[in-house]
Amino acid sequence: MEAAPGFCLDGVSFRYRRVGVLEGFDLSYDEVGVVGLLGPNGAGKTTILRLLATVAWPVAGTMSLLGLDPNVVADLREIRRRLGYLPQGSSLLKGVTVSAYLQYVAWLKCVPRHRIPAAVAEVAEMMDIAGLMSRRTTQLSGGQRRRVEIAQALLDRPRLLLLDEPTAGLDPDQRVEFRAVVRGLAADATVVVATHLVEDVVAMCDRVVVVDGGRILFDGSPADLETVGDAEPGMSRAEAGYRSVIRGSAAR
Amino acid sequence: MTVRLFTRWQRTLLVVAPVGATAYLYTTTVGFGDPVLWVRWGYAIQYTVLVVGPLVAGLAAWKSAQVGRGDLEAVVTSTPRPALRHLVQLAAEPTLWTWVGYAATGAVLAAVVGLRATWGGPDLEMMVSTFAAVALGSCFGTAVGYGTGRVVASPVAALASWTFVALVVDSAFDDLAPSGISLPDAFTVFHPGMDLGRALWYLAAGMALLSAAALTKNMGQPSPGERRTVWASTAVTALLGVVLVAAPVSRSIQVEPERYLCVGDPVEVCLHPAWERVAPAAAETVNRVVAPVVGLLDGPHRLTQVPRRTDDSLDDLTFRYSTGRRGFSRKRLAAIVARRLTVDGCETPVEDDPTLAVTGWLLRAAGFESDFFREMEVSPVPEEVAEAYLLRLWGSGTPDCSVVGDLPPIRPAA
Repeated sequence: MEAAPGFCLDGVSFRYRRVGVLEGFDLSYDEVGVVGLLGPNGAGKTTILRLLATVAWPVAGTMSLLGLDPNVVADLREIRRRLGYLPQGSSLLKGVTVSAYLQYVAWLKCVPRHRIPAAVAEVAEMMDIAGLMSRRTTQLSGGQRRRVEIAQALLDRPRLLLLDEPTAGLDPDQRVEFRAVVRGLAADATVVVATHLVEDVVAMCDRVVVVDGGRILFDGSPADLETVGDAEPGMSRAEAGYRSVIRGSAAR
Repeated sequence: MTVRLFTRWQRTLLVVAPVGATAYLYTTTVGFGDPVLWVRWGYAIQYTVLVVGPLVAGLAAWKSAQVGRGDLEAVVTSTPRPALRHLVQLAAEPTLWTWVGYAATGAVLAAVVGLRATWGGPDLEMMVSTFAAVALGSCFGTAVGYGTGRVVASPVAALASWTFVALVVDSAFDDLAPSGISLPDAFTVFHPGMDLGRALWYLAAGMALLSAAALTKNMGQPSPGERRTVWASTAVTALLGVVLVAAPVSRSIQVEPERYLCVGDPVEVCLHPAWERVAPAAAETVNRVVAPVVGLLDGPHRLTQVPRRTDDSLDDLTFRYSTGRRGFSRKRLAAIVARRLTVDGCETPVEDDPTLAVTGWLLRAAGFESDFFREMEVSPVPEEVAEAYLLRLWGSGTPDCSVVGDLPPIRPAA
């Protein structure tokens, strides 16, 4: 089954404990590249990623992921086969080694048995965790844990990669390296990054979507974001643009 | 369907070691008696499931609750691996390591029993049923743990499975319990197929539980295969459960052997062949107890060990005796035979029952008196009183139903 790149959320509504988080939300991206979701806490970024990851289901509207319909059983399986998802919180399995954890996720991703060692080795090299493979997941530092968690999302080169606050816990060098990894993957995949770090978005993304309160406040390129609002001392142009967008929303 | 093991083997010792220790302790205390019987070995290992099953359920719940919690669950859900297949994987690891514990310990104990057993052979059906019961415990724990995603799932699953076993084991549904509670002996024959039926029920019930948990956690439409598995496993569980509970045959029955082993003189003592090694001691004990009354009437000439009381005559008496947990006991055998000789078929209250005094006299005469009189709070009767009582008991052909007051004083003087 050939999958097209990108995704489409059309009039999607989602409620969490009867509280509406998204109402008639539209967002689509139909090419390879990196989409950055920017917004303050509670803006709805994580919900959007969970919908795209098929771990939450909309109460209204339609979704299309990689050109497939997640409501069709066969399509859903195919979508998940090509999906990589990094949640915001810890997704490590306790009490096993890093190697066993990555093999476990590779097995969950239905990577053929003979390809699992190579797939694990590939992401270990990408995230520079080859030296941690025999360590237990409970013995890792915060940054090491995050790199292992990112590694699981990258397993088997997903066509739709969803990263929720991926650089939280990484040191500056690791963040720079990680951005390069994401740029490399985006050559033949659609990557969606949810973050509140404007510099990450500017460095990695082809398109920036600022959301707040479940609504899209800005949709454009990083260069476009830099042109919004006035420069502020101690801030990059993009950060100033982001603040301007959020303030403008609050004022309305 | 292959199962991949992600747990490091060293950690599995946490499961294998306690399972092995439990099986070893229970089998060496209950499974080994004198005579050593294969049926006890199988029973003892099966009985340990009453303890090991809830422990496995707790372990599986603890393990799967980690996966069913928070963002790891989100990662799991976002993968293409069918939820049911994943749950089977989760349940498989505790099951497999517990099986390893049972297999390793069971094999060692089987070698020991094989060298010493006097009767029967290894009951593979019991082993299959034991292994399936372990799988059910693991499936239950996995379903609870993954379904709730909470740490408390572990004690809840262990307690719930223990409660289920405790409620079922001595009820009308005891055919669903992983083990019976009455100790089998050489006369016990387990009905063929019953344990296999239970094994199937356990596996079907386990699959039904996992299917239900998979459906409740499933995001998106469940696949047709998952739907079919839910319906099929639930239907098989219900059907097999009804068949097992309503089956007209008992799981085990007591049958006499095709051939008895008869030894002893003047009274011939006929024992189950399993008793061959202890037969001389048993025959000598029985003859010592019977000796004081052999010349009283024309009998008894033969005492036969039977699984349950049957119609008998003075000439050919039957008695029941099986080894307890401590194995062959002359003292206990003597007490049973003495009681068999004096019982009058009456329902006399213990405090007025003269047969106890006569039983005591027989045991004293045979040298097995011990604490009988003190425990029964009776005094020994003189020989002539006891003989007169026995003559009356055996000679009339009808129950005597005397009470203490009918005999010369047998109570200690106040």
